[in-house]
Amino acid sequence: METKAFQKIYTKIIQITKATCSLRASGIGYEELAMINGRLAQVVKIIGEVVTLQVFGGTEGIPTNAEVVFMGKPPVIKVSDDLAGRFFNAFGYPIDGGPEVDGEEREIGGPSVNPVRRKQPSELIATGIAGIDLNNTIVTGQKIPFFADPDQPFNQVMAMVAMRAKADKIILGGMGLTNDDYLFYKSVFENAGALDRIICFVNTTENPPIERLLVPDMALTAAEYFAVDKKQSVLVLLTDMTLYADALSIVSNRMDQIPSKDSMPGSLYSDLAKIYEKAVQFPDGGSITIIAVTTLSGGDITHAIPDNTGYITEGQLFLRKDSDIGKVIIDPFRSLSRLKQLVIGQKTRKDHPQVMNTAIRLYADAAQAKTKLENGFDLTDYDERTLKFGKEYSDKLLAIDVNIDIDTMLDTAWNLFSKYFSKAEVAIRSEFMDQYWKGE
Amino acid sequence: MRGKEASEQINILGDDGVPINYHLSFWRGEVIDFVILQQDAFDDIDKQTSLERQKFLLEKVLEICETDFNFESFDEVNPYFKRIINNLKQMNYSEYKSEKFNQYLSELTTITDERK
Amino acid sequence: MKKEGKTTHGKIAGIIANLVTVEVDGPVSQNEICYIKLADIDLMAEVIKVFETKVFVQVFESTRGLKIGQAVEFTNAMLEVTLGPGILSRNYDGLQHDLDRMEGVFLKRGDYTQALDFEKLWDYTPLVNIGDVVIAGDWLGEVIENVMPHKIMVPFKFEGKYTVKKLTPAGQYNVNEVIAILTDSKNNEVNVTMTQTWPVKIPIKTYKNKPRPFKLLETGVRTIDTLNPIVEGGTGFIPGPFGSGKTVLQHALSKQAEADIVIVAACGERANEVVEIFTEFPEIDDPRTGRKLMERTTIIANTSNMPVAAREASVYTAMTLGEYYRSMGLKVLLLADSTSRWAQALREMSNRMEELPGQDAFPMDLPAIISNFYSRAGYVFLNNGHTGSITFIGTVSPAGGNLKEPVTESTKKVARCFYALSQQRADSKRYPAVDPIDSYSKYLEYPELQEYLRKTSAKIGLKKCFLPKITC
Repeated sequence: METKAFQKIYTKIIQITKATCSLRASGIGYEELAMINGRLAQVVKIIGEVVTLQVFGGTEGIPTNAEVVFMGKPPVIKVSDDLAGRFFNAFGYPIDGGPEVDGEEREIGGPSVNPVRRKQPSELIATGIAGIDLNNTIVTGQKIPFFADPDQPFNQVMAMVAMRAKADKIILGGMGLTNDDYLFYKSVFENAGALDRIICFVNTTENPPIERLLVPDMALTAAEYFAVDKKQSVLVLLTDMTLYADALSIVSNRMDQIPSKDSMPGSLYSDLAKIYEKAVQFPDGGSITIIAVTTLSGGDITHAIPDNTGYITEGQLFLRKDSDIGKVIIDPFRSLSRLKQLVIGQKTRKDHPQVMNTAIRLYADAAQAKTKLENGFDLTDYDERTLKFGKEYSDKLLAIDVNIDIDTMLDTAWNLFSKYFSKAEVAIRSEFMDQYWKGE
Repeated sequence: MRGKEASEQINILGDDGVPINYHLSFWRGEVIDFVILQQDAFDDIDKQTSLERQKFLLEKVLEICETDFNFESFDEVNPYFKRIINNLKQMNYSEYKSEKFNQYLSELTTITDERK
Repeated sequence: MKKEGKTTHGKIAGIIANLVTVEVDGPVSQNEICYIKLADIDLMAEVIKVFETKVFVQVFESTRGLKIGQAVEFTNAMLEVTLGPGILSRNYDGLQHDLDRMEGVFLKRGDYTQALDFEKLWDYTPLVNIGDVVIAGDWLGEVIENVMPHKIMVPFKFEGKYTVKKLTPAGQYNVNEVIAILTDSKNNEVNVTMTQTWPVKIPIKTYKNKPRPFKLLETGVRTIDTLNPIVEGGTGFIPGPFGSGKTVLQHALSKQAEADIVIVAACGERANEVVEIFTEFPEIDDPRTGRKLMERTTIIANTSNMPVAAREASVYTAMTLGEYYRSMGLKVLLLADSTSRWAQALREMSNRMEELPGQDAFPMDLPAIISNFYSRAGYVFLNNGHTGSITFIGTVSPAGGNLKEPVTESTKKVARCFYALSQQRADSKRYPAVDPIDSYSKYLEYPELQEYLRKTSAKIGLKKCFLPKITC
């Protein structure tokens, strides 16, 4: 970014913290961008003539006589069809060696969609994974995170979902990705021959953490261009939102704000909501669906980050290693897709809701039987049967390596029901029993 | 004895480590839970219950809970109550006092008469 | 408010997120509304603190691009709503701007649309005679709003007694036409139209008295009616961790409960949930009127991505609209989802003003704010002997699902029904996940309710065993 001739250059910084610099300046707009010795910064506070800037690249080595130039506008991204197939950093500069993208300049983090202009999501996104499609069906316009421990293969699952989902554009917003994971995504996208549908905004662990704050807004502004202007269905992948929130807490901490729970800023809920609520279904077909990753520490979902996220997103998907079958499954107890009610039994077979609930209930009985077994008690005949059912259900339906269509998932479940249980134990509405019960 | 406590006792002491009464308490609680407390907000009939119907249902459920059913052993308890619950749930899914509803009601009477 | 006079002006002196400090040249009032004047638009803001000539205002919009020295104009009015026929079926934002009238897909900053349709003609019938003596809140006339009788009242701001001097005959009029001329005790004439304004933070108290509520409110939800019933004019709250079904339960109540008017304040929650209401309510048949449920519903939407400062306003706007309909002798059901988001909005602001924080960094006066708000609900006898009610049910989203946090605790002190949603029940998909043991309804202890149930038991068939808590 070149400095223009008429721009005023300030050279007297009066305060420096680990993330911010302050100086005296006038005529500055709130949230305007600035360059400090070539580093990007943004106005976060103006008191009289003292302007405080949040420096994205960190303030290491910034001298008090650094050259500060204000750019007269908030962060922007140039949008056009040329974004497709490209990789950018958090500021929207190409990192794939290609040319800069030319197009209409748009402010990132723009206004919200008027709720009366939204449409209720109603298009199912099939992933082939029964733990999602059968138990936690996702629809376009939804926002849902994976809650996962850092050692779980969430990036692999996300990449798989992205490749199988029928979306016009897939936009990856990577925050604090390790370089290895970044290269993993890149190779998955390239090998699938899907590069023309992909756009990536990436901040890796090699980049300064504060830069991450721009990634979701960059990705979502690009998504809005395709969803609104081009009426496309856009899938946005955001990983890892926990690292995004950590960057927020660093900035608020440096600005001496009083922290609330878990040393997170009091505005965490609003900050996260502003991102996730960009998920939307428009009446004319365009949509933005957000699948995110929130890593947990030690599976604790009461921590402020997963807790606030859970209140904002439309459900969550939990990954769990099932040691009985040696596979990673999508935990049916703790996972939830709030919008599944809009499609299951309507866009899918009518027996879907009851089959889903019954299978989970029986799986819960299996879990209870397992506890009994572990505590050394005798098992009843019913317990024995639920245990066998549980294992097969986990293997044939919950495991993330499953790739079948929803009717097959339902038929599989009916097969398991009649294999292990009596009609009274299954207790599904009689009209479905008559139609689908596989036993005598 | 409440259903929840009974279930804890059963989990601690094992199925045959507690008197049959414990199993009965647990299942009585389950009947109340599945039939009264749980309600399917996405089912056109079950989502809304008129006061009259609520009263009917409560009386039916209390009647079942106050009945002394006879069981030889604890493993008869579970399937028996599951039948009762299933039957009452089918009633919840049927239009009040409709033909289907009455049919389930008479089936229920048959079931409860079995072990009186 | 301060006396009329010269308009106070100011200039922006500082900006931190949506907290703006303004240097002023004259008197201002706490909670006064002002507008930041930009080239093409005005941004609405509310005074929340004054220090000498420095005034702290919370801006109801994004403050991006604001600069030091920009002009601010004060209005000499608090945040007010416009009351009149045409509120039902509307979808408003937290400041009562009509969302359907806004143009474009995105919410434009400073796009303030009018709350009522000023052109529409209403079939008006007077209800008083010339010479009648009336006071604020008395019914002067009636129009039919969708299917509900909508009373045109003596404006709530009128003090003392008035005499009806002139009446406009029955006919079709728009809301701004004068339908009556009243004279006050000094014989000054005042015109009354079908609309009036009222500040949202001040309760409308034009009723005779507010007894303890006693009438059972049928909701159709078994775990509420059978176990812990709520009453007409009662208060209740639903705390629960995410995923425990708060919103589903609230939607069920709004669709089924026995009320004349349903007001839903979607406060800082998901936009898709509001869209669900927008989509479903116009489709839901209303067994009470044979029309659609939306015809007696108003939605106030401040979803989580809409400006934070309007979040607090949204619940007050909803309550004030509820009080307006209660004054017409109607049964209002008011639902707010979620009151925690409102408390968080207060916390964000208090934090920016560097106030000394209370527990979990919430403002110290949070319990007082919450109890004042809940107290505005209730069952009332109007001056003309009719009754009206606001039943208020709020949800609470406790951080980490911990019911010992300040919003839950403060609410527990004032709300009479407690429907605790349990994570354990939700996990085992036992919906509605209302915990039968932890939940309670204090109304069960009210002799008034017991008496009412005894009297009506023949009709609705309640009997003694219907109510005591079931040991399960």
